[in-house]
Amino acid sequence: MPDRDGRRVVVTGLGAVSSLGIGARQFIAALRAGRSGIGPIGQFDATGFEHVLAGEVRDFTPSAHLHRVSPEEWGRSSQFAAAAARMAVEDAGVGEQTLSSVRTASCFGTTNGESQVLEDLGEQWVSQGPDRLDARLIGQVDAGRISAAVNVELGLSGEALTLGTACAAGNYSVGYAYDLIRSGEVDLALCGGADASNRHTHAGFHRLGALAADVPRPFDEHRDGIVTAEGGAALLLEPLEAALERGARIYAEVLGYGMSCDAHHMTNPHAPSIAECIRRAHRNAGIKPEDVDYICAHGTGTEANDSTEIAAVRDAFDGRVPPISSIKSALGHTMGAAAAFGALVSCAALHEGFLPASTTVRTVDPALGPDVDCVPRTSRAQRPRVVENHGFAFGGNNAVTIFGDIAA
Amino acid sequence: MSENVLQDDLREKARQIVADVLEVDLDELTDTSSFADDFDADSLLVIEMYSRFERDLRIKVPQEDIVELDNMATVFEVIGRHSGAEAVSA
Amino acid sequence: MSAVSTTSRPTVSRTAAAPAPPPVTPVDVVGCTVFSTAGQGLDPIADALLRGTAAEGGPAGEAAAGDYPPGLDVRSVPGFSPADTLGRKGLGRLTRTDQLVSVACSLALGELPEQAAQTEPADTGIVLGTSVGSTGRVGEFIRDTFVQELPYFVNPSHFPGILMNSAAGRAAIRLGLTGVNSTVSGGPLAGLHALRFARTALLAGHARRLLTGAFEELSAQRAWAWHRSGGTAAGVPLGEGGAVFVLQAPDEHAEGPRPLARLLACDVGFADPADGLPGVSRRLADCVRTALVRSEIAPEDVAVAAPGASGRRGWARVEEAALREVFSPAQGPRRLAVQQVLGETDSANGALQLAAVLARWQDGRQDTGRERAAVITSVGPDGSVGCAVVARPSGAPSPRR
Repeated sequence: MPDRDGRRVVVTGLGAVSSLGIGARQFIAALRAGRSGIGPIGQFDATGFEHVLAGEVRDFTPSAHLHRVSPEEWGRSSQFAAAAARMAVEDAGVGEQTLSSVRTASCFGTTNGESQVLEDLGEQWVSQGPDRLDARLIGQVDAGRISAAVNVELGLSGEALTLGTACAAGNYSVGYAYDLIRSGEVDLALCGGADASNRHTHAGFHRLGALAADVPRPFDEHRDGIVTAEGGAALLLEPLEAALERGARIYAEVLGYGMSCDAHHMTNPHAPSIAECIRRAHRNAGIKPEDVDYICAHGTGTEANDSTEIAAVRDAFDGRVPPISSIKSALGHTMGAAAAFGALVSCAALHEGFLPASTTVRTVDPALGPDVDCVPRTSRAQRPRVVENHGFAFGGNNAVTIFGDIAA
Repeated sequence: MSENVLQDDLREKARQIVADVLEVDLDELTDTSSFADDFDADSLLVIEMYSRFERDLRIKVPQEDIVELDNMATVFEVIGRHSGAEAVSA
Repeated sequence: MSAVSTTSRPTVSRTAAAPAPPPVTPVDVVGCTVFSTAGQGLDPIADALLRGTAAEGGPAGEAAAGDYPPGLDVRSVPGFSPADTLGRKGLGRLTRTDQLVSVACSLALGELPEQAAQTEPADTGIVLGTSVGSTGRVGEFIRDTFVQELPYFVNPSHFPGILMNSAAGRAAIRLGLTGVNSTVSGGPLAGLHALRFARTALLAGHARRLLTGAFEELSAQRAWAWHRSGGTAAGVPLGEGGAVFVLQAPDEHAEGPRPLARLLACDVGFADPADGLPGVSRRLADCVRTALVRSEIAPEDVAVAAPGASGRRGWARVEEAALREVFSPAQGPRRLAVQQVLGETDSANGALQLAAVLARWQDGRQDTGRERAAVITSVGPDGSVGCAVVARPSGAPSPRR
């Protein structure tokens, strides 16, 4: 039986490095206003591709956001994670002395790790040969460095764990951080996800026929794929008691989470397994399906994902589909950061009282079945009490996190 | 049915590609063998076939014309319809 | 570096105000499947440890010897024949890491005694450590985006294989395991991270059984990367392989067969190498001490230490300094020279270190009857450190030979 004992865990800090702005405030405001982060690819040479849009972070100046991590020594994904983490810490009003005087863990998810560094090495190999590979770049490829960068940036000495569960990794990391605090293993945790825009990921989705003609249109009847994107999102988690004691602003409570594996196909999602993941999350969080007011969808905008996701929701919710929208409509698919952005938005939705929109939907796909409220086009002022955040990935890795209104 | 006559050479290359992707011998691959039922093919293998047609045969099937391929007859029909067009611009 | 003035750097060690870390609940290791440059299983590792040298053998698989840097001593897993377990169909689409993991997980589950095999697939999962996933597949895929006529002329069937979670996902499909499936990254720490993640998941009730470990493949890409960054430490070949351990929740099959070992504390920490390598040693020493306290084991009761940094130039002494700080130099634990005999295996080091401990404990030729506890340590070039404590169950099973 899942262990329901343990400390209650809350979110007190948010940080975002995104195509919609740098800083959680800017990101959320832009999201609520219905802006799009999608534009022409700038991070790599897009020559030869038929799809040339991406959700990239523009004008990210490392020195403006990072005190210790430098772009000479760390890849872009690490920079995003470290910057977002610093923002989350500042947002929470926690000082560095506090961070290092208690047990603090860093836990970040990624899909492609330090993909730009890997790509630079690949280009060196092709243009100059393997005997000219740059040793400095070789030292930067390990994906574990993404969480290590957070530790370096904030002067932390505790656990630095990077989760490699692809596009669900952001939820795996929130869940792991939750378990660490709940059990008393640590007293503070920075969690989230990060990935950098890169050519070979774009090429892979391109080859699969999974890229949208222009913008992604989750839940739309003519949806045709994803737009690759990048970014970093961070949440600061601490015990409820500690947050109350220091008078912290609490965004939301982490109620629990669930994980499952499709064990079915490497790239095609599997509804029964996703439904089971949702059920595990509900059980772990101690909630019933009817408690969920809003779902922050995985919602990539492919034909397969969105129909599978809605079918799984119907299964887990006994036919009901709660309001469900996809922030990928605005951000594109930020890979390992996606579920972390979802977690961030879930907390903001609970705290500010809004549901983000599926901004690009024109006609909701009738094949999704009746009563699908995907919060079309405009975000909605509404106060949810419990929000469910979805993350699904290649390899059949699924994770669902549940957040609750602390005032409830 | 397409009016294009698929040259023998192209037919054989397409057949070889499909046999490669399905990991079967050429003589196992009849015009009516079902890729899914007889050879356990899935959608990813079909995408691999289209990819090989584009890269190796210069035959590009636009996304909107991508259909599930389950036998050689369909393969010949689909690539027959697109074999006249410019496959790729460099 | 930043133009923003930094605040004074906090000290690495914890202040007196930090609360004592909680004691740990042991988790049972009930099975182990290992592939190393010594061969398959624990016996060849025991032989290699006794001999004190690495087994013979060069690169295997598709890469020809000419693809590897001249002069770099590389070893592969001898006699690895994945088709025997996995069949031939689709094998080429699996990366070498996928193959090692799928075979190892199949064998690990298959070798469990019948009674212990009764855990539901929904409660059974896989947790693996890695660095970047399959170095060979990632390299080949990226290469295609540069050398093919168009950048998207990549092989779509190879795309899932470039992801770090490919091996865990593939193995789950083969074995129908729908429980927790996770992948962690962290270079030399990856094995300890995997053990720690798995332990956390088991104790939090997310799973009842987890196949936990780490694998690293040999590839031309990995070999050149090592070659260009200075190579492995003197006398240490570049190897491959890994191990998967069957971990069970404490009360699962309590009346079952005696476990191979009990995993006690598995603690990790960090010290920025930019602040000096002695700081990293001190942080590792701190980590080892904490792990022992949480395991309720005194330093003098640790009979064996399996260090992890011996294969990386300049890092063996960082690790050894930490061990000397914790353990008496005179009567301290015997060091197992794992990287010397199995090769440097990056993210698989930790898993092979644990396998080496188990190999020693089941080797009847060694007088290990009084050994009750071992530590497995790791240090990463990013400053990550870690220590796992494993205990031998009392009334140890009679050695297998």
